[in-house]
Amino acid sequence: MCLYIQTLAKFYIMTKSISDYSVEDFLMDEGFIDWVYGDDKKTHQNWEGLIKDFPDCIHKIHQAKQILLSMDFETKKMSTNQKNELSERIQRKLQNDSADHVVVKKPGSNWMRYAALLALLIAVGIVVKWGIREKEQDVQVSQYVVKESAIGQKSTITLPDGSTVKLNSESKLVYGENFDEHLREVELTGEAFFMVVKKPSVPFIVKTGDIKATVLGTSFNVRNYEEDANIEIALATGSLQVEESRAASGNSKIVLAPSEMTNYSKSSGKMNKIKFEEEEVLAWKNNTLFFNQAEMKEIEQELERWFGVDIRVLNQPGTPVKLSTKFTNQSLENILETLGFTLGFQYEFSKNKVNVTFN
Amino acid sequence: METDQALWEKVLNSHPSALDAIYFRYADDLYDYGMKISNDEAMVEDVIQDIFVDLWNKRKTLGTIEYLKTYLLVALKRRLLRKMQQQKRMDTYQNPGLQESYDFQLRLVQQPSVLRDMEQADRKEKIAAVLLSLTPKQREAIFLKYYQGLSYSEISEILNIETKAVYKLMARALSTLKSNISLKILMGILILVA
Repeated sequence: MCLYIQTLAKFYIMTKSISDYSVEDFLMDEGFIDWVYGDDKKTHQNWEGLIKDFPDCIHKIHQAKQILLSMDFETKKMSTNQKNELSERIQRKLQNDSADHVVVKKPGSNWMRYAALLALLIAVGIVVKWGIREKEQDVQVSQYVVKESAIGQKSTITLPDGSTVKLNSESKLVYGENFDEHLREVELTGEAFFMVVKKPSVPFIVKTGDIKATVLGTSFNVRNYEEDANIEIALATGSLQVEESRAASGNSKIVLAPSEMTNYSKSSGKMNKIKFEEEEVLAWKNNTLFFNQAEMKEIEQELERWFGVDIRVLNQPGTPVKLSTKFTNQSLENILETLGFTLGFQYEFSKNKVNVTFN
Repeated sequence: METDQALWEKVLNSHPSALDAIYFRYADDLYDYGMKISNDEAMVEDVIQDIFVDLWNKRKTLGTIEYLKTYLLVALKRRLLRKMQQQKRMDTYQNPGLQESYDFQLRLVQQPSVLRDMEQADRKEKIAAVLLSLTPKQREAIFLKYYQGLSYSEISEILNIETKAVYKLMARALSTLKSNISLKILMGILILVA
């Protein structure tokens, strides 16, 4: 028992035993806080056990727990647009900064001029050396191509090898300018549907998060938005192999057959294989919003991304939302009208903001 | 999901996409924390921009960063305070000295009245009132502990005080909180009895 207490209380007061804990002591104990807020299984069991062992503490534990649960602080959030704009501002600034370095500004002190001259000589040396090496080994100095579709938009990209990629809203595809010579490799954030031209000698690789999918010629969907807990790769035709991109022995590999998909948990790194409904997973590429037992949070996120709006749900619905339906080529207004009627909420538009109030 | 360390490692190896990933991971936390200190949206955005630009430009000299989130929060706070100081000086044409004085705005979410659980609502009202009476530093420590889930040593870095002092700060804040809540409950019972 003593051991128990020490591990739990180690962050705080080593000498105090749980039976002497005041409400404030519980509130300060990191193990206790984790237990109330988190889902750490181990501390969970320990605390459940402790409550049984120290029945006298139950009242204090209860009070401390209630206090912790009441502390939901008001938070200020950036809208998705605002967040993206700030990200772009940072990128632009970085680009300008690196451009500044190349430009030699007003004549500075002598050593600066010498330094610049030296740098120039080194640069020339490197270029010359590259030129020579290029002949010998065909070393490429490649740059990246970035294709993005903004929130509320979708775009279709044709890659240099003729493969096409339909990019969902708020998604980004990056590939090297040397794509197609020796390797076909792209990196994806967000969601995209790939139709890959068959080329047995050069596999097509999609990297996303910690995993990569390797194919020869097929069509498949990859979904990996920042807020998704899992990466989903769903195969429509052909065959496809998924593995972790970090090279290590014992990496698990999964080979998919048509209408199978893999779910990679970003937190645990576990992969599994399940059958999927094409109508559901691939709906977006046919301009269909598909909901299957969706909760309000998911509906909110999908609509925000699909239409590029900021949705605020001002109160909680009386009964939790579970929605199963689909909308093809519908306007946001139509969708909100339908949802408002079925789920029982009012909504109001202002610019690209929507406020939702449940009845 | 990639760990902070893995992302930072990539930044050190000059992968711009890793910087972007760090930005999207912490933009919300930084913005929210910044707004609690300065409540000036444009200023907070500018400072977040500066932090990430510097993070990239100075990555070689920064080397290893153990706790990325703490590092970012500290950087945000320092810069915000500096800017607020500058603005104050410009506004009042005087030098207010270099003390670190700022308010830390911490409020609880208000539930719509229809859905209220009376006991819970009552407790929240009391906590909200106590929060207002605490010092800004105490409010900040409470926020960093319970909302951001930081360890005491991380909080000590952000507040720029010893870890022991963080314990003391929190303990004092919590005992104020606890006594206020129990006192009112006790008074409630007395009124009922009477």
